[in-house]
Amino acid sequence: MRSVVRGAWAVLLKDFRSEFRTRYALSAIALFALTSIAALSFVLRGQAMQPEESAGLSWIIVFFAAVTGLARPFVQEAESGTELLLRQAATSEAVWLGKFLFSLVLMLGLEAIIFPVYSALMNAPVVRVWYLALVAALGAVCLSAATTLIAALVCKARARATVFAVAALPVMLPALVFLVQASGSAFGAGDAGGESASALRLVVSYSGILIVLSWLLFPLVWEE
Amino acid sequence: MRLVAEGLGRSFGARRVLRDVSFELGAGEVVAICGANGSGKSTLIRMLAGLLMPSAGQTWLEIAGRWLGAQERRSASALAAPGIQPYLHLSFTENLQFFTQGRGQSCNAEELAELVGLSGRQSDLVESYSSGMVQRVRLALALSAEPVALFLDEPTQFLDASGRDIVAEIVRRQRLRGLTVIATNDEFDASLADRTLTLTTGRPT
Repeated sequence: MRSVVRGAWAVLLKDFRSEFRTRYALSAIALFALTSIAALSFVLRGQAMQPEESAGLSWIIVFFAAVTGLARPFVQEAESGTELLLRQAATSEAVWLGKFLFSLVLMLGLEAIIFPVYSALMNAPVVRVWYLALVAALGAVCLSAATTLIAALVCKARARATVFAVAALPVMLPALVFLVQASGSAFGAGDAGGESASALRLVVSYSGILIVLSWLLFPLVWEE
Repeated sequence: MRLVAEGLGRSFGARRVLRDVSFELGAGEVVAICGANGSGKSTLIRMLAGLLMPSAGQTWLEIAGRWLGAQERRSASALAAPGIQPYLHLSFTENLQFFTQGRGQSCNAEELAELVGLSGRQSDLVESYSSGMVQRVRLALALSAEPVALFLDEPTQFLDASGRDIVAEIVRRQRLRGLTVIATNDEFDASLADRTLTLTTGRPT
């Protein structure tokens, strides 16, 4: 296990160094998210939305922003010919963990920007901030686990970006539905118990399933 | 110490690239795998390095009377090949740090830079290097792992005369540490080996 953590740390550090210098994933995600929010705010012109609508729209933006940028860490390995170097440098478990953590940090950073900007520009006040933070953190875990496995899979394909978007949709759609239901109360729909709490439990369960499946299947995808 | 290949074969879809490759290599030995373009040299060397699964046959690495498992074997081997790119947005030193840290080793980047003739350029991003310099980075990466089994695919590609001398020095040093397999079409590379295995349409001749 120590070697997995050490290898994952090396992969994480390397990805952050590269991302800091190129900003490929960050630019793609941030540009998509901010443009979408700006466009929506112009269309709706500050019109007040129902809490459920606010929750739904915010997660749709996060979901598509994730699809836009989270394939980059893996796709770039394939496109720049560094895949074999990575396979020599770290075990498949270490690569999975390193890439998962990189996506997770990126997602958390993205959500920390998207939700406040969304709330301010879309006239969608957040009434339970800590509850939204909890749902957002779980959402980041869930989406990162899914995208790590799918991105590794599509590395072998030719039209990687297109295949990633198509392959990610069915896996991430249940998570999106649960996340929208869970975060409704954060925008003022009912209380944090009841339907919202059971949706949150579903997010936790689905995240668990995705992490275990992703961890188990990854070596089969990564090793030739 | 022994590297054994027995009945190795590899197919990509319906196309069979390699068949019935068997040989054995001991400590201090250097073997050159030669053959025309497309004869399966790179495929074979990747299988020997444990980076590609054979479709048929097996390959083993034995150290001190013990056959290594897949993970141990990969830790004991290193491959430098034209298809393996270093990270262009990292420097020479950062590439080496990543590679050795991931494998649980440490490296002396300065010493390796001197060995491959990149002294003074260790902090520059690899994207600013020429193709010959990138080839030197590949060699340094493979050496940084201090491998028991060193695999070199076209090691002198893009290199000038001084680069060729470096490859000769690397092979000489590796004789003291373990074994070396070189896949090449270059006469100079082949001259560094004790014996040659020639592949003709995926078969040893």
